[in-house]
Amino acid sequence: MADGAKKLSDLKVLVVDDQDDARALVRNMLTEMGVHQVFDASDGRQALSFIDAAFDFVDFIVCDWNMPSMSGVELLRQLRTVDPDIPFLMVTGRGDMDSVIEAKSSGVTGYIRKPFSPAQFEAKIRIIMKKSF
Amino acid sequence: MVLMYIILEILLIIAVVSMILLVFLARRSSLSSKLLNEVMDASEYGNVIFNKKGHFFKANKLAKHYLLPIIDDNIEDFTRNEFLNCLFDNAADIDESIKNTILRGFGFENGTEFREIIQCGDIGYVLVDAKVINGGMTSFIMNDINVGQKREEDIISLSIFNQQLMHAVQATSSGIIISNPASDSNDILFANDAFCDFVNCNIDEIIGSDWGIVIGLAQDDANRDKLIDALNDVKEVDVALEFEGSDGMRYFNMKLTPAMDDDGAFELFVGVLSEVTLLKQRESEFFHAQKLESLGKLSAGVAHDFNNILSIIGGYSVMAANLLDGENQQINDYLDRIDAASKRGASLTNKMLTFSRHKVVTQTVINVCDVVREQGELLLPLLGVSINLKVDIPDGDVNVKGSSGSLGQILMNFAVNGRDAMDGGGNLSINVKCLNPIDVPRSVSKKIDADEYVCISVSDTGTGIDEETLEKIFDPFFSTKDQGKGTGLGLSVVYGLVQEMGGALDVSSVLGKGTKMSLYLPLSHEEQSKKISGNVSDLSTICLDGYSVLVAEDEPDLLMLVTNMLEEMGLKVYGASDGDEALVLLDDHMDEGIDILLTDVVMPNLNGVKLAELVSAMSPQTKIIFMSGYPANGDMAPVELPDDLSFVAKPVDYQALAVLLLNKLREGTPETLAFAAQSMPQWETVNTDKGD
Repeated sequence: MADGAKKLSDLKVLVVDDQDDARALVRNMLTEMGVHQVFDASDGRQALSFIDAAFDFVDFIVCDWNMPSMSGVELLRQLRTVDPDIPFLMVTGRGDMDSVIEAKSSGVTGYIRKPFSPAQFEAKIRIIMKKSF
Repeated sequence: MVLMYIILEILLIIAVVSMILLVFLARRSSLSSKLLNEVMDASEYGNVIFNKKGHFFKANKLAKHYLLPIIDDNIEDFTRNEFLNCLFDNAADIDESIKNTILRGFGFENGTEFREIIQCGDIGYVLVDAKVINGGMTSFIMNDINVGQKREEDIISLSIFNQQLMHAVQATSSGIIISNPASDSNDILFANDAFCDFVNCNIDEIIGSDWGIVIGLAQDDANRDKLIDALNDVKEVDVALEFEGSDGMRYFNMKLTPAMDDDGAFELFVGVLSEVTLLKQRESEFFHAQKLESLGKLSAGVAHDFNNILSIIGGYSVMAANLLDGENQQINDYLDRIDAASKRGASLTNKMLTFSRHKVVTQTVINVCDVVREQGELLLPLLGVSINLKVDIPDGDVNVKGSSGSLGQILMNFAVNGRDAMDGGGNLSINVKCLNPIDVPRSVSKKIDADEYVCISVSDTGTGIDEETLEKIFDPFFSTKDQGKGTGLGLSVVYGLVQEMGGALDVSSVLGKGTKMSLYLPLSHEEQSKKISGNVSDLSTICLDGYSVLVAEDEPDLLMLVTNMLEEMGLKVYGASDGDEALVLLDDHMDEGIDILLTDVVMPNLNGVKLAELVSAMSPQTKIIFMSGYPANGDMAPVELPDDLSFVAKPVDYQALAVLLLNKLREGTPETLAFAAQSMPQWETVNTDKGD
């Protein structure tokens, strides 16, 4: 447990969501599972400029799909041109096969469907971490 | 042939008589030789005349034309006997006695006349009629009999063509009906076999009748009026007809055309009917599929938005509860209720997504009989005492490709609907049958192609469903149940699951008698993917073929030992050296699913209990067994274990493990149990909800 928490506690996560309450919820779940370095971005452009300015401060991205001006998938595509490896977990209410395929072809690392429990979220984060680091 | 000869005979007699007259006139009235030539040339017959002494007298143009292929010199140079020789040489069928008589010089002098058919080269057969005229002159009248023969051949070939035409008209799948507008009531002259079949009438009933028989089939008043107008005003028209046949309604399009003769006079009315029943069925199936597709998209869109909202409601209630840390029990209870409600909402949106998703599901080979048997047991408490359940399954395995969870859910849905249709009690029967393609409804065989089918049907003796409702039962949010009693998603979920399994549905219902819901799947000849066999009393017989187990154990030697034990029982084993690796393995095999997690309790990074929690969150159907060297619970336990756990103590005992696995795998599948639990509250927790 101690080692796992330590690993999670090393994680620097950027949460991208246009809805404040949803963003805060994800932040809270992350904190609950032991991730303490969490940064916020309220849309895709903000996220890109944050990563651009403070690249070392982020090693994991949790992003909502549906956002105005720049969707999660657009953000992902742009991000992949500069960083093909950074773990990217897409959070979405979409469960259809087409959406999953679109996300995968855009280079998503993981995909979690809303609503999800803290345990489902933690399992996803752990799986991505295990696979990526 | 005989008739032709009689006609020829008469014509020849006329020709001979006119020739005699001509010669007579020529001699008596000093008719000029030129005029005689002209008159002879105008004849339809060839004519060669020799005088009394046997010298050439006259020959017309046609005779010269006939003779051209058989004589080398000019006919003018021939004597009668030379000419006769030439004729006999080219005779097609010679009467030798006549030939001898004539050639010996007896014939003509004695008044012998003859008739022979001569082969005149390329011209063909020419009938030569030799007559003695005008006191000893000999006249040879020549007639091309090919013309007559050709006419006869024409008549024969025309009659053959007529027959072929008739065969073609009878063989066509279009119905053809022809009437004679010149008759008093526009009588039907002809109807082909297809027409008789369409209207299920005998040909005798149709011929001679009027168009009333067709007018009566008009689909509606508009079509009827159109047809009557066209018949009255002699014009072309397309009308829709329908006829109730023994196996349902049949639909036709008829094109009515007035046919004109060569002079443009109106002669016949021709109606051509094409059957469009299949087209109409496909059209309606297509519209239905399209409707469901668009409803699916709509509900998926709604589900997506709701999922966003539910995740916030549920998420914050959990967070609030965490903050309370058990301090205020009442607030805790309220938060639990909020969380439970958001979970109910999530299961609803999940159903909406099940209906619309087109997921390719990894399918295993399952025994339908096993699933039905298990389901039957789950159903009993759900049906209550007033409903009598009868399960009729064949002996032996009936295997299909699919998911037992989905099949269970489908059966449960059918049964719950059946139960709700039988308010005052009744009989619910579940029946499994293997059928040949010929015995399945056409709608099913059109959809799934198989050499043998499995039909799983659930019949009730309830109120039945009317035709209008029947068309909508698979639509999402369509429900006939009272508000709060049904979501209108049950059968939509069934529809989605059946699509996933590649099956087909058939529903038949009789108002007041009951409903039968049937699921058709192709019979699989493959061995069951998952099979539990064997007896605990004899460990060597235990076989858990096809089941999968995920083992999380940080001690490599122990991991290998347990893996070997499990593999020996027929299980597919995935070994992980820590919790995180176990999660990754589970994630990689989500599609086929993991049946059991066997985890060590104490592990670095992620302990067994936390792993079990995360695994359950990801894959609720995975059953969990802990193993530990510490006692399950108590002061010695380093990690507190859940109360209702399955536990195997280290050192792992093969027998204990086998017994535990057997029992775990034989439990009802959590998916169907969850559905069973859900089906109950639909009608029994209404009061509780009101109480809130």
